[in-house]
Amino acid sequence: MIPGVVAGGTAREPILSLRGVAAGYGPRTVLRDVDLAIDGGEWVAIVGPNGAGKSTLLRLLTGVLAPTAGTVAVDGRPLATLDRDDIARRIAVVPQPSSLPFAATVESVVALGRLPHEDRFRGLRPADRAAVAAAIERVGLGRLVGRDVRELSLGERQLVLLAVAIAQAAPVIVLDEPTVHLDVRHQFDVMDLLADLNARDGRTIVTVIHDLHLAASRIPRIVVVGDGRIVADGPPGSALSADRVRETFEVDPALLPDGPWSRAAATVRG
Amino acid sequence: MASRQDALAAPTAIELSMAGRRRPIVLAVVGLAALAVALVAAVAVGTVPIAPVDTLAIIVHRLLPFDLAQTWTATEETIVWDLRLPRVLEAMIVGLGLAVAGTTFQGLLRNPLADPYVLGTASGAALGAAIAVLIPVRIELLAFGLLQILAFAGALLSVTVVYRLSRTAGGSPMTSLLLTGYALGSLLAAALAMAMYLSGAALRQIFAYLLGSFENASWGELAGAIPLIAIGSILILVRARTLNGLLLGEESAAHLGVDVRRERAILLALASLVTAAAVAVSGLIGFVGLVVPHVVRMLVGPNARLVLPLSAIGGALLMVVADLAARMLGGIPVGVITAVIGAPFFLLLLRRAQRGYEL
Repeated sequence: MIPGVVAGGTAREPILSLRGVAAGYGPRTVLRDVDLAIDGGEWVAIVGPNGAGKSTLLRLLTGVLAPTAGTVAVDGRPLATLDRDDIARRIAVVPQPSSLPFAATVESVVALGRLPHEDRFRGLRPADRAAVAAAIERVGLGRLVGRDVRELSLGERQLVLLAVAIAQAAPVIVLDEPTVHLDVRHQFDVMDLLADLNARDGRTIVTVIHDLHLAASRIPRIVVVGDGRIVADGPPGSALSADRVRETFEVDPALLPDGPWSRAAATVRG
Repeated sequence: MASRQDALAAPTAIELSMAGRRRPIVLAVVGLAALAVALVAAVAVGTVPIAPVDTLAIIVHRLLPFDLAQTWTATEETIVWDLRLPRVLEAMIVGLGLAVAGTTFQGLLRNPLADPYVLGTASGAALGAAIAVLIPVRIELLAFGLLQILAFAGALLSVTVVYRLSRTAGGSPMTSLLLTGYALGSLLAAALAMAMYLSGAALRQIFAYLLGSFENASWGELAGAIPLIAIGSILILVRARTLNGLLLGEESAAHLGVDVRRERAILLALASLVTAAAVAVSGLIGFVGLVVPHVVRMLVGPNARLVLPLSAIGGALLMVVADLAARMLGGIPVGVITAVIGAPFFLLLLRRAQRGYEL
């Protein structure tokens, strides 16, 4: 897409776009016919049953998996033409907490967020250190700055990984199930933090999330992935209708807590 | 056990990072000073004691065009310049190389139990050395005998085979590297056992190589080993960023801007080259490459930018002191000494590490 050209009825160029994308592993195709455009400043949830292709979609968006067909672009530039540093300065990824091979303080882990900006020979400069300290404060872990990350709870470790992404200062943050290991309070903390990063900093946020209720109540745009395709895309009210939940997730929407699927179900019954 | 209360009373972020930033510099200065003292002491001490002043004077006399009043004998000059100095320098460069390679392998494989020998370098080098002892051919290439040449080639060849095989295996690349290294190492160890069984009178020579020593050090050997180890270590050091990225895993490293496939291949090649050069001249000396990086990480944290240079200093220091002790104790294998000095020190640090240290 050429900058400045009006596309799809909007003057803005999407910050992330997938056009005609297919992807898979070896002979197995996991995703096909994927078209998705995400504008700067949006907050998007990717939902879908296990094995539907959410993680593959995430790996495509972050450039660790190359599509077998179509193009994935950030800022209108295909990921294939960017090197890893260029991508890392545009897209930060929050993985699920994994184990660390060595003892490492919160500060030294969050400092990893500065790697894409760091000078090969000089390492962290004062501006980098300030960004690291600010990111740690932002997620509320200031009192744990010198603690070994491996001593922290899963919730705190998730916040450390969020701080890494904040320190990375990329306009896009992509998260892989950031609330999955967390108790209710930590789930809300993480969602509040994401909302703040989205609203106050204008960061574009894309998150894979399993909890439909949490997604529908907090995230303005829902992309539903089912069986290797995008089957719905829109505000929770339309993307998570009762029929959609029944068809894609194979559950009776009446069994879920209240959400857009309940209202739609009521209409259908009435 | 640290509790939430302790955390509240802990130093603030700013205090902590200030203290954290001075510490590596202090450690580097102390380490280099200790290394300088150890080098001079190691050259001065021996069956023929030579005064440290004379030792320094001989070295200065040889290196610089100063006209010093000669207070030493020609024999002393030979002992210092042709025997002890190459030996001490070889211990230093081998210790440095093994510690840097150990840090690299631990970081690349994300495994705290990795050491420079983990991918088959040791068994490849040992088999190469055994073959060199067994075949009745004597070749000299520059100052290198057949044993050094075959040990060097064996080490590099086995890592190459491990790397190739692991790329065709499934699963996580790092796990398959480790497992392939283990499998090939076992196979080579069996071949080595067979070679030793068949070796007869040459067994002692093979065994001496396996234990490791700096007895045969010469300027010629150093001329080969120093450039390989020094240049390899410097090239690793400028890739510290890659090792840092890998702390959170391979995929996260990619998300942080590291070209993982390329960087991994380069670092594996460099660390293997450094290890091969070290084992070719000194034989198999354990412990330094495993323990020194851990000790350094306990002191300064996991940042490879600090761990690599401080491990280099620590490895050099430990090896020079260990070789000095080995000589003073009547020629005990230096590998025994590195373990005897290193293990209790490591255990002490493990016990004292306030933040706990899981392996």
